[in-house]
Parts: sequence; C-alpha cells; structure tokens
Amino acid sequence: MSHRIHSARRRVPIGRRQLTHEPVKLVLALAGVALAVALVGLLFGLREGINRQVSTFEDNAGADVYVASKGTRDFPTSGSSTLPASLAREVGAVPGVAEAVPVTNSLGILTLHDKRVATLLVGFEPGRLGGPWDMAEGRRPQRPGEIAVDSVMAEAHGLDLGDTVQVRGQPLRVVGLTDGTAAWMTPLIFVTRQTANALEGIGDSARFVLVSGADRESLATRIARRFPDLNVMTREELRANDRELLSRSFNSPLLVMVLIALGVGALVIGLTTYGFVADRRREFGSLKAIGERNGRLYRLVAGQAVAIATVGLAGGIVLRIAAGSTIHTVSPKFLFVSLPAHYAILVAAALAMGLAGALVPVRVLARLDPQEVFRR
Amino acid sequence: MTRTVPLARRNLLRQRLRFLLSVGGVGMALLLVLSLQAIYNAILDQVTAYPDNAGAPVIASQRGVQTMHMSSSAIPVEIVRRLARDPRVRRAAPILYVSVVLGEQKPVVSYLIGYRDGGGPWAMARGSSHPRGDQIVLDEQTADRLGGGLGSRVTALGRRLRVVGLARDTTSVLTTISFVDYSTFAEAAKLRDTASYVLIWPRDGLSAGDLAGQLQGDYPITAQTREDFSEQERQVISDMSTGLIRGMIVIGFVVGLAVAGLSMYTATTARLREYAVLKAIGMRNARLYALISRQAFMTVGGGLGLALGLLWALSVVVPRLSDSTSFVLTTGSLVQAIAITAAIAVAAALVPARRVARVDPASVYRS
Repeated sequence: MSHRIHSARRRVPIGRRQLTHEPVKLVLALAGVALAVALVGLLFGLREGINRQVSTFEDNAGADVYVASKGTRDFPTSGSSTLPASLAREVGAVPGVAEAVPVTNSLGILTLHDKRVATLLVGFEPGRLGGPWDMAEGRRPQRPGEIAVDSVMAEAHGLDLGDTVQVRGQPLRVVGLTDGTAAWMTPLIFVTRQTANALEGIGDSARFVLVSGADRESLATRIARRFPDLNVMTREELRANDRELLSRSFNSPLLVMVLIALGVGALVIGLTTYGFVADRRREFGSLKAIGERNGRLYRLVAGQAVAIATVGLAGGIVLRIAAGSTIHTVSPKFLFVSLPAHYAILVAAALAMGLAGALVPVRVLARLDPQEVFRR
Repeated sequence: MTRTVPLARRNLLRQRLRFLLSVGGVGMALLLVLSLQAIYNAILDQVTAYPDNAGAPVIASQRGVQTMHMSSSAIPVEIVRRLARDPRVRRAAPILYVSVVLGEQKPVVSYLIGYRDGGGPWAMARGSSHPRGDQIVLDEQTADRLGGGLGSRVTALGRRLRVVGLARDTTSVLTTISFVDYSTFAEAAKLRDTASYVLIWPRDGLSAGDLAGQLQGDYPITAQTREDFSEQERQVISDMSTGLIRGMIVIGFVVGLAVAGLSMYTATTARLREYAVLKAIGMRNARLYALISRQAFMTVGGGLGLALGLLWALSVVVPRLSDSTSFVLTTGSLVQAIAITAAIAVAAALVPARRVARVDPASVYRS
C-alpha cells in the first residue's frame, strides 16, 4: 500500500494491515471482483470467438474474391443469390483469374439425437476451391449422397464415418470428418454442389462464384467492371460484412451483461471498503484525533479500493484465461479470443469499479467525529 | 408476557448502507441470471412470430425441414397444386422465404416472405399490406433503422424495391420480417418451380393435427400444426443456447454467493461482541446459525426484489435504445431465480458460521 501514516521513525502501512487483518473478508472481496472481471472478459472473448467462427469459410477456403448477385453481401444468409453455374466460366476469362468455381451454400438445421443443430452447408466442386481444407478422418465428398461433417460436431453427437445423416429429408453418408470447421452457431458441413443443388431444389446454379488470383483488390475491380450487375467482394470485405451482421445481433445483450458485471464489481468493492471504515470507526477516529486530515483518510481508503481492484483484475484475467481454455477443451465449439483492446477494457473496468467503490465510505469518513475514540 | 426481539432485522438495518450495498451486490448477481434468461425468453417468443401470426393451422415444408429460422425449404410447385386440390384442404397458400440482409450502412437481417393469398403482414402501422411488383412492406422499426419510410427504396433480391407499407410486431433481436409479392420474389430469385412453405387451412370438421398427420403420409413433405412448427423453432434456439444459459447461471450463482458471503461475513464479524453476549445469556450455536440464516435470507431476498425491479426497468429502457432487444420474465425463470436465491442464502450463512461457533462468551467482558 502506498498510503502510510508517519510514526516517529517509520511509516505504518495501515491500509495494508487493515486489508490483511481479516483474510476471509479480503478473499471474498477479491473473489467478487475477479469473477466480475472474468465475466466481462469471457463475454468479450466469446463475442470475438463467434466473430472469428462466422468467417471460418472465407478464412480458409482459399478464394480471394467472391461474386454474388446484387444485394447479397454476406456468406451465411446468401439464400437469395442465384447465379447460373456457367457464370464461373465467364468470370474465369477475366484477366488475372487463376480459378473461378461455383459454390452453393445454405443454412440448415440437422436433427442429431433429438438435438437441433444449425449448420452451414457448403456445396463445392470436388477437387476445386471451396471444399474442406483440413480432414481429420476420411475423405472429401466426391459423389452425390456423400457428406463431410465438422469433427467437433460429429464427436458431440456421436457421428462416425459410414453413418447416415438426414439433410432435408435426404440420407447422406458420412465419408469425412473435417477439422477447423467448428462453430458455436453454425459448424460447416460439405457436400458436392450437385447434392446441394438437389437439396435446394434448384437447377445448375450457385450462390457464389469463388475466385482465386493475384492482387485481389485489382482482381475484384476488374471483375466488377466486367459484371456491373453483380456484387463482387474481396475476401476481407465479405468477412467484414459477416462479422458486422453478427455483431449487431449480439451487441446490445452483451452491453447489458457487461454493465451488470461492472455494477457487481463496484458494489463488491464498495461493500468491502465501507466494511473496513464502518468496522474501524474508532481507529479512523484515532487517526483524526492525532491530526490526520480527511484528504489523507480518503486516499487511504481509495488505496485499499484500488488495491482490491488491481489484485481482483489480475485474478480475473487469470480466471478468464483458465475458464475460456477449460470451456473450449470441454466444448470446442465455444471459442474465446482475447484482443489487446479487451485487456484495456478490463483495466478500465477494474479502475472504474475501484474508484466507484472508494466513493462509498467517503461520507462516513467525513462525518467521523475524532471524539468518538474517547466515548467507549 | 413474552415478546420476540427481531434481532436479525435489527442487525441488518443498523447499518443501512452496508445492508443496501449487500442487497445491491446480490441483486446485480441475480440480475445477471434473470436478464439473460429474459432476453432468451423474448427471443423464444419472437422467433415464432411468423408461424404464430400467419394464420394457417398447418404448415408444410420440404421433407426433413421443420423450421424457418436458419433453414431453407423447397417444395415442387406440382406438390403445391396437388395440395390445393386435396379435398381435405380448404385453402393452400404457398410462400417463398429467404433470409436477406437489407441496407448498406446499418444492415439488418430479415426474413423475406413472398406471399400471394395468405401469409402476409398481420398488423400494419402505416401504408399498404399488399405489395405489388417492385414494392416491399418493411417492419416499422426496421424502416427507422434503415433511415427510410413510406416511399423510400431498399435493395433486396437484387432489386430496388419501394416501401409501400410498414408492419408492426415483426422484429426481434435475431431478425425482422419483410414482405413482397410472390411473383416478384419468384422472378427475382429464379424460383419458378418451387415454393418454400405452404400454409394450409383444413376443411371444416378436420382438426389441424389430423390433417398434418395425413398430409405427411400422403405427400413427400413435412406437415406440422402451427403449434408444433413454433415448438420446433423454439427448440432450435433452445438447443443452441442451453450451454450459454447454463454457464451464465453458474457465474451468476458464484458471484451472488461471493457477494452474499462477503456481506454475511462482514455483518457477523462486526457484531461478534453481540453474539458473545447472546451466548453468555444462554443462546446455543444452532440458534445463532438460524439468526444468521435469517439475515442471509433477508439480504438475498432483498437482492431478488431489487433484481426484479431492475429487470423491469431494463425492460422499459433498453427497448427504447435498442428496438430489437426486449425482456420477458416467465414463471419458470422466476422459480429458477428463487431457487438460486435460496441456495445462495443457505451457502452464504455458512461462511461466518465457524467464526460464530468459536466466539467465547467470556470475550464480552474482556474489553
């Protein structure tokens, strides 16, 4: 503690001694603050994790540019994008295009042992862009009636190679389990485009044309110039659109939770500092009687509050990392990602909780009568 | 004449600020649990807005598809025609459906429904409920968010559509609902051979449940009553969210326990002399525990009351700031919160128990 009261020769660390005098009380206060900090950290980490998961396909599929119909601006809700599959050949003729491949994707609910699982189904051309990028077991689908499913989802629902999954009423045989395709909201599942189109009841069409080539910005510009009636997006643009879409749904509930957690932390610190002052009125009265000014006493209490907030912050960060890692290990579909900005928010939050908690006993201190020490 | 002294209440209320802080801390911890549950309940209510209000007792979808949320469905038009001619069916209205994103600056996810003779908007704020050609009916709040109103234009299905009507009760935290003419949808999305769902009304005398069962046997479709369809929609959200909700309940419980434990511990240690006096005049440890438990229940009960009050305040304020977020408190959530409250109170009372048990009655004479 930085606040020390002068004695004849050395300073007495009153703040620290008060804090450590009753370890149970201190531990409970630290636990309350650490939990509040960990909760805020987990909420932000979960949101960033979902942000990352929502663009898993774009991050890994290998395409540099995505072509969709006008008005389609994100990958998961592209159901209204209907392009003729032959468009891929025309796009492939644009200078700089290395490969252009049609892909049909759609959201769908699978019922797996009585649990409904939302999935993002990708129909790809075997051997070309857009298929599974990392196989845990088995192989990529090559024929109608075959499916590769995310390995985390498969493990959670007891699916194995050779099993049959009903997708929109059609039985599909699991020929592969994919890695790097897990998500809390919509894990990825893969079929051939022919199978996807049959499930969708559409002819030889596609939702997107995936394009690879050098210098994606200029490549996108050239394709957009050639096809002005289509929406041409770089991988980064599509990824940003996907994340923005998701953030909008999550932001207000998240903000409510974070504010409540901050309120809990501030009240815990306030309760602790108030307890220290209220239970030690005589000690604080003595200090006043020997000449300590209110300002020094405020600083003493504020120091205690900030110390609790600081240690609680450190504990909360450790708890956040441990909890995030444990949850991810037990249930890999939940991903927690911490950004430097999250830590900055946690530090600011702990500081705010500490200062708010320090304000609580100010009135008690100000009204404390130095003569109180002589009354009992 | 004997009179009981309300020691628990007096102990708590002697230092009101401490009591209020304790109630506040516990209340906020319970609010964590309650508010998440309430947002979740509201989502469950809102996600079934379309099947609940479209008016059809039976909803048919592609075989194997049981929901609209995060789903797509395709029924061949030939099946739709056969359903319309089926003698058990009074009316069959096909709809087209897809999730789209409306707006560029502030994008909004919307269910886009293409309808012809059933399944359109059920409550209008302003304008026409029957879009024609390149026209669209938007949810009123969605139109606000997009910065447009009647007469403005939005892009959907690759077309610029003019807003001719503003619907009510068609928005939620997950999505909003917009409506266009069936033919416009079919033409723009090149869906001439399939419908997404078919809304079905049974002939008089035939129940929705019976008709759904019979149609499912006779046609390559999934046919469900409106109630079953809505239940499937809720189940999708429920199956996705169970882990998160449970996690938040555990965190809320532990935070509440830490706060209530801290509160009980500080309140008890501040009065150890008084407990010593009570022991000195013959009160047994069991009665002292009961006294502390009463204080714990009063604190945590106050916290629950505060949490409910704050939840009510949130349910008034938040929807004004974020039109898609709302709160619904169900009996189940309330019962769960009461159970958590009771568990916290019991556990919190145990925190200072050892300290009280070790109080020496003679200590009252020592200082």
